[in-house]
Amino acid sequence: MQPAAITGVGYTALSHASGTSVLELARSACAAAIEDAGLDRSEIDGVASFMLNDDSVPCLAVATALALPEQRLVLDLNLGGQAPCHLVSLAAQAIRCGQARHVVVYRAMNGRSGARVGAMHFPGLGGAYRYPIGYESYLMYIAMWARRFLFETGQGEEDLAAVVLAQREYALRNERAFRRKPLDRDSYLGSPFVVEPFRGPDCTIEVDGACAVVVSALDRARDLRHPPAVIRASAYRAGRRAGLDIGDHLYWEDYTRNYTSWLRDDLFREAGLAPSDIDFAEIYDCFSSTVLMGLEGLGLCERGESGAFVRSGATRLDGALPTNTHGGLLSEGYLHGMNTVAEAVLQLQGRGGDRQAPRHDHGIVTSGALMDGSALILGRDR
Amino acid sequence: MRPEPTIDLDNAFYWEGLRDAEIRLQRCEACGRRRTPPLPACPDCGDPRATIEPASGRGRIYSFVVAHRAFSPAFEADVPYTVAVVELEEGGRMLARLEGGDGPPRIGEAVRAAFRLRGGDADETEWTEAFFVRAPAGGDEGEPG
Repeated sequence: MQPAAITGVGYTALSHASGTSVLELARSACAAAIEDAGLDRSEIDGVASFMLNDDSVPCLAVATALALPEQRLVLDLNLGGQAPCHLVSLAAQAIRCGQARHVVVYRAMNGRSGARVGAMHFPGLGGAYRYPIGYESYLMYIAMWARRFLFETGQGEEDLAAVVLAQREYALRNERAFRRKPLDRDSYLGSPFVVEPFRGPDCTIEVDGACAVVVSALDRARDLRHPPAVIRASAYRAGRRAGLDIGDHLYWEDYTRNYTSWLRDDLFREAGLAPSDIDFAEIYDCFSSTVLMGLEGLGLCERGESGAFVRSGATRLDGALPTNTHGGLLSEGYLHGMNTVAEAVLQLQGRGGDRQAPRHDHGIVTSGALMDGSALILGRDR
Repeated sequence: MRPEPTIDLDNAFYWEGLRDAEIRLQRCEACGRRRTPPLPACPDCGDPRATIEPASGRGRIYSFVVAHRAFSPAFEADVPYTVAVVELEEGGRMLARLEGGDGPPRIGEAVRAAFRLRGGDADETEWTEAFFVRAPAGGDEGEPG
């Protein structure tokens, strides 16, 4: 079986209003990722992406605009932030089976000037119980879980603040980041609530833009421009009673544990690693609470101790586990977690610049916030 | 205009119950667990047989959020408003507006259901919303669960 690795990453600029079509954003980010890998477009034989409510363009449109040759793997998923690690995993599985050699995975959206995920109504049977009463944004669903999580684990606004401030510090070292204004505890606590317990800085910033990565067969990856980010383990998991649609959590039993708690054991087992072996983490963070829940769910710290862990400086560059080194979706911008994967690749490859984690042999990255999601462990070659 | 609930073959009994000021749950005939929102089979044991039973309307707050801004114009006049996940005494959880009481709501606090008509104007369908009311301060709320 042929192992797989991520070989290149590509971005467009992130903006309030791209003035560009979503197809052009997608094409541009994919072309940049292929170029970054050092591949010729004639070698790409797979394309994978995801969208919500038709807010993006299908893979074959992008393959056509990129003048790609015939495609052997095409995956268009109707999913949100659960998808990036999951798509990389599916691409890697196809490569392992010999069904594809190089798959470009992207997310493209005019997520601020066009369709905005934050206020979208999602199709599905759960909407009947949400939308008529004004429970109508992802922000509210995550806030509902955050309240219960903070209550049960004995944590609070100081712990959310710690995440936001630590990530904003990273953003100062990331030219791509959308929010780069320094933020201190008092300014955080002085920010008005949007949906309690979340203030403005607890929420990701919606942007226009695109991000892509290339997943390649490892035998070819070894000849390419950058050191391969080898996919050591991957997992997708939907917990039981996952609900009626992407925004329905009424059947989910425990709002203090998301999919990370359910995929953790399989993920580490496949990698042959323990949480203590992980050098850096990129945790999906549409909202601040999901970082705390992810750190605890993955076993990177004990239950109820994630806030103290972040406040101790452990997630800073000189800490035990640099986390969300691009500033997260909170600061860099909301490319739906595709950029979370790309940042993990840059770190693993040692291309993090001013924000490079000193140890980067193994990194963990997640996609998703609630009932279902996915994760990868990336490692250096050999 | 507020979005209306989408009523379908699986959930019609629930909305009819609200119209009669009653929360109706499905009780699985195999395992006895009660569920809501409506589902054609039990999410725990998979058995499709269910009896529809009225709930007492009593429950406790499992979690809640307070919206300080509206995400669509229909709810601008309501801001700030509270939405809670309420654990019903009989089993099952409901998503509903939370009203009344003094001071911030507490997880575990006892609440009871109330009902109000929505829509019904010329171009709107009439439907009944269930919401939950907190006990006034000093009332016997029982111990948080």
